[in-house]
Amino acid sequence: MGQRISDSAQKDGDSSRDGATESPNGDVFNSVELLNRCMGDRGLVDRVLNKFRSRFPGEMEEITNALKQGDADRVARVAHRVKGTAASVSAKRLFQAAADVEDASRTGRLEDVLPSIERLREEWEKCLHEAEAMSSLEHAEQAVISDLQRV
Amino acid sequence: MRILVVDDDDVVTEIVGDVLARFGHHVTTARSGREALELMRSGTYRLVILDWEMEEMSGIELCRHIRQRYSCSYVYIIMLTVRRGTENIVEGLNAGADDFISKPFEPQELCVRIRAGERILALDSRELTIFSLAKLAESRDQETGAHLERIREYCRIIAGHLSRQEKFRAQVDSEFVQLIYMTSPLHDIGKVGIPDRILLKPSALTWEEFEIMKQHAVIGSKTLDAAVDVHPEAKFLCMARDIARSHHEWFDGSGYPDGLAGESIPLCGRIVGLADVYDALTTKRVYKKAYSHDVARDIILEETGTHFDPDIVRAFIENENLFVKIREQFLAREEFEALSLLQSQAKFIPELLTAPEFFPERMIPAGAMGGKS
Repeated sequence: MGQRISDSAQKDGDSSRDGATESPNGDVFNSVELLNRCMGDRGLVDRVLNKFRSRFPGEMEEITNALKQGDADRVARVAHRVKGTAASVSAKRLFQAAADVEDASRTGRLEDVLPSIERLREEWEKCLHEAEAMSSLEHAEQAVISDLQRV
Repeated sequence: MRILVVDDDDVVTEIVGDVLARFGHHVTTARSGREALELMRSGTYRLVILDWEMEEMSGIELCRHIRQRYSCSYVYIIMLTVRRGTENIVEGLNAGADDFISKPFEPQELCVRIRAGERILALDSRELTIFSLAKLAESRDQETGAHLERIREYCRIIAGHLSRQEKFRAQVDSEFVQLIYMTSPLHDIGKVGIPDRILLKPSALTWEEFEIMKQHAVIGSKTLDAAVDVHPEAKFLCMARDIARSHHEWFDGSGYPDGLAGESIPLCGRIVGLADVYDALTTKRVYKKAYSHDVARDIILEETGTHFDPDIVRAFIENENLFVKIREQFLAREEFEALSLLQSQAKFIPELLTAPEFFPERMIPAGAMGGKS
């Protein structure tokens, strides 16, 4: 099971890279893909990223607690949830990191999971930074548009 | 379409909900399988999009619950999941899912798949509704059984003829012909709301009784209109409603219940109106004998332009041989069925064998008369 999910996760990663549009935000977010998924509505992108930012700390805490309790199954389930969210916001490196945590925890050897959890945390930090930048840029663009409308 | 989206990931529900709303759907979200089942008790949701991995109750378990609990009307289930692979798809389909969409989803793909689901649901609701309503109508009036079958045959002939006429080509296509065949049996569904003393009265109705009888057009159309509110995409329901309401309208505006005239009367209502009258004239009813085809044709011709649309009458006249053939076929079938019924009863009630008015001697099976012949 773990191997199969890992394979599919790899395919997902590949399919994201196969996208026709180049992400302006490097490998962290494919913002063009996300904008398309949100039907071009930047307001929706903003709302989605806000939810994404507010949820992740809780998910990380849950993974850490599950790890302390030796609950590999719970680690896998939370990682799977993060993977789904990452896919929805086109955060492909976060997606891959979450898939690695899920796969490693499915094997049941939690000591092997630690490195992948660390990578997940790092990817999350990058996502958080990028999401804030995207949001600031969005607000800056809105402010310019608003100013222009008043001219 | 009312859609229930079940996912414990609020990022997903936010995007899916917003996208589907842009495509004109009404979306409700649930964060767990338990919440979804509670919402589904309302009977409002016939299309459910659900995640596979959820806390407490997985999407697979939710699928099974839905299939076990909702067997009367079909619920179309789409699984939205990051899971892939044949094994997962087989497991999902086995649990009762109808379709799979991979995360991350593409809005256009999601909507196309929902449309496919709507088509399945339209078929399901159409067959169920027509069957149940027609059976209900049949149970009230023993005479209407074959009437419904003849009516739809007559309607198909007229609609088929119109589909080949330049004037009606844009309006009457093969779908129209199929829909009128399917929905015309529901024309008198409103009679379920008419008291037996009026519906089954063997003599002419009084003015007051006729006023009550006229209400069947309104009762029928209101009943079907309520169904249209729930399934506005179901064309057959719209046509059934129009037929129920307008099949007693007259071309000159003197009919009921709305006094519509000419082409303001829905075409399906004008077609069923003639088919209904032809069948009423040519068959025996509790209040009258059966007229011949020629007499019925003369009456219809006389009422062209007053009661009937001249175009519909023309279609009838040009296909009258088919009308006669259908009438004879059903008459022969009814006689055969009546005879079969009497024969089966005669095996248990020997006295029937000596009742020539019910059972002509020439038709009694050889040897059945025994010593009494």
